[in-house]
Amino acid sequence: MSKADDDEVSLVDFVNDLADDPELEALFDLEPIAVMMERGLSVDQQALLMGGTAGEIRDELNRELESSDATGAVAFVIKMLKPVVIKMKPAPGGDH
Amino acid sequence: MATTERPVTGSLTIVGSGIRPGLHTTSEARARIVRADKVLYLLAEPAPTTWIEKLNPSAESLTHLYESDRTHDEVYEALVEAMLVPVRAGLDVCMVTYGNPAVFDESSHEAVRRARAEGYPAKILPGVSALDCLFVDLGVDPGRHGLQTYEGSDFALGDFTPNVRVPLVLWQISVIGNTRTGGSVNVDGLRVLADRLAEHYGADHEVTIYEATPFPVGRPLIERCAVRALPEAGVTGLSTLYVPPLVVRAAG
Repeated sequence: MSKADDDEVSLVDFVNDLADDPELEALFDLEPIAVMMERGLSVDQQALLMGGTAGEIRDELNRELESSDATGAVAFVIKMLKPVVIKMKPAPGGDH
Repeated sequence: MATTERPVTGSLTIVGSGIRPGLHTTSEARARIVRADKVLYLLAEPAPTTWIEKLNPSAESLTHLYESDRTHDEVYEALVEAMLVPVRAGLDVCMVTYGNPAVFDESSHEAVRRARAEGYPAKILPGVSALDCLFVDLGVDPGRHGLQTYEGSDFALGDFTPNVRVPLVLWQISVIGNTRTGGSVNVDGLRVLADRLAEHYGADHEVTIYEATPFPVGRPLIERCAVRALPEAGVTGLSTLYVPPLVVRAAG
């Protein structure tokens, strides 16, 4: 379990619960304010989850994880990166 | 009563978590996770992940293999071996990767090839990919005008000539020209890409930077800008670029 600020509910825990429970996620999709209020999320947290982009939510989750003992993201997890080959034209009069 | 227990031989099944892990994970993928002797996972975000650990307490993240400044070849080889070591020990292994493990996933394909060559059963099960999310979030239907798609470095540094009348999707535009792992967007690569796109579409053509949300909350990143502004725009680590057709064919 992650550790949020003393006066805030853990966003990491809330996101984990949504991912683990499709019925809760469906309820959140239909009645987000009711679900967030029931869970005790702050007004700022509610605003972030309602209108935030993936990047903004990522930043907040990483901030919370970094303040706990959990490991945050270390690098972009790219699953296929090919060798880079740059083709160049020979200089005029150069070796061919 | 006859037992149905089969000899332990080891096997590898690679499943996709989808882009929104847990919620996009298919029933067949969940069943494989539950039944596996050993679960390994590679997700794009450090949360949410507890759903995997609840399904199978053996679950272990391989994200640490992406520690900064390793070559991607080193990382992919380490991933393949991390999957195969427990298979060779006789375990039924389930590897969970984000998105669809058959799409833009070097180590999953290689692990299956190598496992089969060594005589172990191995397969990939499909998952929801970023392209599926793009179709939904941007309202793009490939049935209308077709679709062309390239890996970002291939397009920017290769000699592909796009058909400007067909929608174009470019992947991994944040790491064009990169060969090592890291956590920052390569702006120089975006400049090369913008130049390439300007050759074919013009510098004023509007493109869309897109990232599906990998969380069960929030909205996707959808930022529109001119090709010329791409290097300074809000490209994120997992951004995709959607380039609409230059000329839309008349309906009918």
